[in-house]
Order: sequence, then C-alpha cells, then structure tokens
Amino acid sequence: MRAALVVLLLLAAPALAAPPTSDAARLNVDLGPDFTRTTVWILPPLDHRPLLGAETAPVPALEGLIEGLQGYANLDVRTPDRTSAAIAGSTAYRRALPLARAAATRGTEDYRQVRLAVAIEGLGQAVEAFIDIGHDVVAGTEVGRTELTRGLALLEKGDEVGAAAALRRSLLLAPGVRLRRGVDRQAAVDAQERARVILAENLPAAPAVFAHRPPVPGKAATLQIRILPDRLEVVLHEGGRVVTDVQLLDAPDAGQRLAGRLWACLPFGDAPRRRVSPRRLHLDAGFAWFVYTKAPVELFGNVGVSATASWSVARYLALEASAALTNSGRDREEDLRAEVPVGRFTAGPAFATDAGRLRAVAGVGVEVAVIGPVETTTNPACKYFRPGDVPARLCDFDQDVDQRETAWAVGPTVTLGASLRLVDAIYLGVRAQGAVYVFRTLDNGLDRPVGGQLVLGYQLF
Amino acid sequence: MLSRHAIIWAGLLAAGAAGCSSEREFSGIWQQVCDEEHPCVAGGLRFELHLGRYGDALTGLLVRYRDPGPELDAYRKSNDCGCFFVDSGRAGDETVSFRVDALGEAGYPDTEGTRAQSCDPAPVECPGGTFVLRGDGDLLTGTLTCDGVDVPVQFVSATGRPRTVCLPPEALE
Repeated sequence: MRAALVVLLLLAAPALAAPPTSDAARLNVDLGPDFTRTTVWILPPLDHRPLLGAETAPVPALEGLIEGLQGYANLDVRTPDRTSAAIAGSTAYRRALPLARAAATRGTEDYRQVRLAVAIEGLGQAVEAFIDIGHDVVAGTEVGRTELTRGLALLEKGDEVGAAAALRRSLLLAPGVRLRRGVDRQAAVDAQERARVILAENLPAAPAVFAHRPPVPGKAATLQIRILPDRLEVVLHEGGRVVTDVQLLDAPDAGQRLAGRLWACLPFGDAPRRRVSPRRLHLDAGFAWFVYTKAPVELFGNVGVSATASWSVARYLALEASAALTNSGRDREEDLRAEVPVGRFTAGPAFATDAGRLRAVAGVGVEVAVIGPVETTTNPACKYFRPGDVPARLCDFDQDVDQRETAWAVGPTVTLGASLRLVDAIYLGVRAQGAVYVFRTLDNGLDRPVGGQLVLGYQLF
Repeated sequence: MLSRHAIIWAGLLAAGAAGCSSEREFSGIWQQVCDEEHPCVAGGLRFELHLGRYGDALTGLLVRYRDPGPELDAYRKSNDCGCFFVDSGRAGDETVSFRVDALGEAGYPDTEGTRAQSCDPAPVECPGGTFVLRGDGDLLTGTLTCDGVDVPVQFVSATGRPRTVCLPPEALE
C-alpha cells in the first residue's frame, strides 16, 4: 500500500511541480514558424458621415481597431491599403477594368448626347462590372459618380423613382460626391439632396450596405467597416458566416474593444502542419523485357519477371533496388542455339518526383548480371541436326558451335520510370533501363542490355 | 548517326518479335506429287523433303521412297529407300535451292535399321542433284537438275515433324 502511494506521488510530482498555465498564456505563446495564421483582409472603411451632415475628422478608434487586430499573433491582418492593392493587382481586375471603364465612358457620352435609354443601360452595366471586380473598394468615388450619372439620366428621362434609387446608391458608394448648385441642374441637385435626406433618415443597415463581398484573394476573412458619427459598424465575412458588430466611439479604447470581439469570432488558425515523412516504400513487380544491343548474334529478346523496391529517403531522392529474371528467345536466324537465362540485379540512387497521380523516377546505379551459358553457331546443319546425327563435313559440333559458360558481369546502369496511381496505393508503372558492362568473368559477347519493365506496384507507406 | 539509331531501334523492335517468330517459311515436310507435268523420277521413286530454314540458310534431309503404285501411299517407312543430307541450301522470300549429293545411290538407312540398303527399282545415275524450287502456298514447284538434265518436280506441304536423323549407326563412329 505504501509502495503504491509512493509510485502515485512520483507520477504526480512533475504535474504538481509545473506552474499552472492560463488559457491566455497558452494562446500567446510563440506559435512557431509553421503556424498558419488566420488572414483578415480589412477593406477601406466606408465613411457615411457626409450623408448625415457630420464632419469627417479622423477616427482614432479605427486606428485602434486595426492595431488591435494586428496585435494578435494568430492573425495575419492585411491593412486597407494592402487590400486595395491586392484587389487591383488581380488578373481578373486588370482584365475587366478597361472594359468597365469603356462602358462607363460610352454611357457618359450617351448621356451628354441625350441618348438617355442607351446611357442608362450602359452606365448600369458599367456600375455592376465595377462592383463585381471590387472597383468600388479601390475607387469608390469613380463608381459612385458613374451611378450618379445614371441617376441623372433616369431623372431626365422622367423616371423619378429609378432616379431616386440610383442617387441613393451613388451616395452610399461615394458619400462625399455632391452636385453643385448653380452649376448642375437645379432639379438634379434637389433630387440628390432628397436622396441624401432619405438616407439620413433611414440609413440602410451595414449588412445591406456590405452585402457584396469584394473579391479578395483566397478564402480569407474580410472585414468591412462603416464610419458613422457616433459609431463604427463592421461586417465580418468568415467562411460561410457573416458577423455584424457595432462599436460606439465614445467608449474608452473603442477600437481595441471591437478588435477583441472580432478576434473572438475568428478562427484561431491552423496548428503547425505535421511534417509528412518523405520516407515511402514502393514495391512493384511485373514483366521485364530487354535485348543485348551488343551480341555475337542478331538481336534477340529476353522476357521474364522483375521486382523493384524504391525507398524515398528525401523529397526528391530515392534508393532503388531491382531484380529481374529472364529467359531469352532466339534471334532471327537462330544462331543462338539455346535459351539464355539471365539474372539482373541493380541498385542505386534515383531522382523521384510526384505530381498528383503521376510519379517519375530517373536513376543511376550498378548492375550485376549473371548470364547463363551461351551457345551459338552460324552453321545451319548444326542448328537442324543433333550431335551424332550429321556427318562432320556438314557440321562439326566441336568446331562449328561456340559454347560459353555462365558469366558474371558488372557495370553502370541508367533507369527512367513513370508510374500512374490507379487506386489507393496501387499504381501501374513502366521503366526503361540500360546498362554497360565494364567487368565480366567471361566474355560471352553479350553487352549493353536495353529494355523495360511493365509493373504493378503498391506503396507500402 | 540518325540512320544508325534508326537501325538500332528497328532492331530492338524486331528482336521483340524475333524471339517468337524467326523466319521459318519452307521449314517442314514437303512430299513430291507426280502428274503429267511433273513425272516422278525413274517412274518408281518419290522424294520427301525435310527442311529447316534459318534466315537465308536452308538445311535438312531428302528421303527417297519407292512408289508402291497408284492409290497407295508412298510415304511410309516401309517404302523408305534412301536418305540424303541437304547441302548448300539457300532460302529467299519465294524460292529455295539446295544440293543433294549421290542422289542415285542407295542412301543411308535410318537409325533403327528397318530398311534395306538397296533400293528397288534402282535409281537413275545422279551424282549430285540440284533443286531449285519456288514456293506458292502449299506448293513447291521447280526443277531437279541432275547431270545437266532438268526434271520438273513439285512438292506439297505435309504435316508432321521433320526428320533429323539419317546416318546409319556405324557412320556415327
């Protein structure tokens, strides 16, 4: 009993001795270089204070919000400037912007030429195109003015309802843009003012204003901010969620408070990715075929079975070993009088790379081959008759038949291979192989084997 | 250099097939058929060719049979009366040619010794016969030149395993 108590104390001692760690402390520890932080794109704030007739002084809480988010180690905060630059730098944006601008220019020209119907349609298409590519984020004033022109065209056409909607939308996009009394038509100035008053009295909620999510790179979270005289309204798009929040500006540390609440809504990030071991073992077996390109007779095929093991020890490095057992056929004139069994063993390093279901291998190594007896003759009578069945004047087997005993040969080898993963860990592969013998125990005339393998393999791990 | 590579690759491809199918056309057994255009030699003997082709080279045996008469099968062991080695044989795409020495002599008995050394009726004198034949499907048609005299001959393909034994036992020593 006492011994058990001692063991329990010994086991519990390390835990009791360790200082307690709070959640906050654990969250603030170094996340490490492999930690994937949560990316937050902050869009340029939309200042709707002009709609309410308020001053547009700098908002310290906005800076506090951005700095507060940047203070969290698990967040990768992209400031509004970076967000605008990222949107403007996208390929889709650069391709579509000239077309949208051309449509806007044509629409404006149509409006000046009083081709109102065409102008309304063209300007409307331009505004939609601008918003689709995020140009309202990059240059909201330009988009707002385009929508304003459309509103003016609608007004001149007599569509007061449509004009009012367009003028309200233009004010939401570009709150500071105003028609000038004495310069612009008085009716238009009045209509815009009426639109502003309506917006001031019944300002659309932030989710409605930020209903369209700008096309930021990737699938990161986006934060859209609206500045009002007394508060900041934010809409956070993260994954499939939409989070709205309001922060009154008169609260102390308003920006930090809002940042804290938003941080709590964001995913913490991805833990360091577990390193995937490059060590993998591929085993395959199949059919082997090759010819000796240097031989005392015409080329003859060798067919058999092969097996290969490929062990990936690094990202692009594998160690390969292969064995093949084959038996020869005959050459065209059958000068080769007996089938030649051959065993080939190769080993060496290889460059290996994977691309989806494909895997390619290129390697060098050493081949050790054991070549069975080689019996050749060019005398047709020696081919047709057996020894003792033919007079020596037609075939003298001792003289006319060349017989070489089993030989060993060693030389460098080159291998090229490719495989296609069929299903799960099973793959189909082909491999080409060539070698040159530099050492042999007996010169049987056979050298420079070139051939290939067709294999079915399995990736063990 | 290009042509050399082309030859090597063509050889590699050919070798793939060569292992299983060397040129063996004309290899096999061919039995003489006699008609008005191709009368049998001496009126009572028939030839059977046992050929083996290896590329452009041709070898094998010529076996001579007594003709037992119409309606009977001459190519039976009991009618065997001579065996000769094919020498200097060549084979082309459509033709074969070879020489047979001492075609007029009795010839060797087979290894079992089941036939006599003599051949009755006695064959014509022919110290060396040369066959030049052209293949046409299952037929080999051509001439046997013997002592400067051309004799038209025709052979038809027969099934079976070609003979490779011709020498009498004492000749093997």
